[in-house]
Amino acid sequence: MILKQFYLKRLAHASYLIGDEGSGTAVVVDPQRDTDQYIDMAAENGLTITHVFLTHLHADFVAGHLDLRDRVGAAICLGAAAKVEYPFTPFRDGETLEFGRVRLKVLETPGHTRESISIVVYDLSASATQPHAVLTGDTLFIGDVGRPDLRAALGWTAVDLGGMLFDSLHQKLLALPDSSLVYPAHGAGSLCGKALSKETVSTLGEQRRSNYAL
Amino acid sequence: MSKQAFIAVVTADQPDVPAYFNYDAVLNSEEHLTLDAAIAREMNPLSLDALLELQSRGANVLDTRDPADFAAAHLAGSIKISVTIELKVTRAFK
Repeated sequence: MILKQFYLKRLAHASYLIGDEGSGTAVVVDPQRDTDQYIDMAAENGLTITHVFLTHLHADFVAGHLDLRDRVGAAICLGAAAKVEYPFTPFRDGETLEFGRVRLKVLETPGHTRESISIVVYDLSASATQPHAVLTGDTLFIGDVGRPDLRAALGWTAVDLGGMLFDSLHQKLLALPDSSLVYPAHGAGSLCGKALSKETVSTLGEQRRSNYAL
Repeated sequence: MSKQAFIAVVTADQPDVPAYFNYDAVLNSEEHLTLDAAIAREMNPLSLDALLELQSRGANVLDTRDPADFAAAHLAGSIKISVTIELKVTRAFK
């Protein structure tokens, strides 16, 4: 399994490519609008990008999901609660996408936004039950959590969304094993939270111990 | 931490929201132009005559090339704002 983080410092933004060499398949999560690097990396590894996920409808940058759809035919995948103009494959809590020796399991984790999801990554060559990592979007950052007040104008109050965020963190993410790697969508400098760490990867155990909001 | 305490903590002292946040969130939900299509629409080369005409009516010309290229030759009245300078400014604000 390939799990590559692309970190764009100017936006403090992290995106991901998850690939399975055996089946020649790749999935991209939260892409930048400039999608050359994902397509180049897929080509270098003999992979075809079949799906593109957004963990939520980002407010701080224009994402490259439509670009990957139009350039390589990737299917757009969003949390089932998303309301958008273009066709997409909705993922409900617990639904999975499996390709070769990789399984992605979607957790609906509303709070930062109503449609937010997290994606649990299983490397089936290592274990079918112990997750390798979780891509947490703007639900859980390293040292912080996603602010719940951004989308409060759209029918939910910051308190409503804050309550959902608490439940998502405690019922969904903190239920995962401590060894799970945590890969968020943002690092230090992002305005999607207030205390993001300079680190761009951690473990769930480390966040359970040190994150002020958990 | 209780749910009530958590909500109080995460809704307090958040940084100001930039005006473009709502714009980008809406754009990400819409069938917007891809980067290639947006560049094709916006990046239209001007002829020298057209550029001089716009400049004579008050338009500024920004020269974004490397400082060495700018030093070698540039259009009269253009403003040097190279990518190198932009990166230095970005660092200074961190």
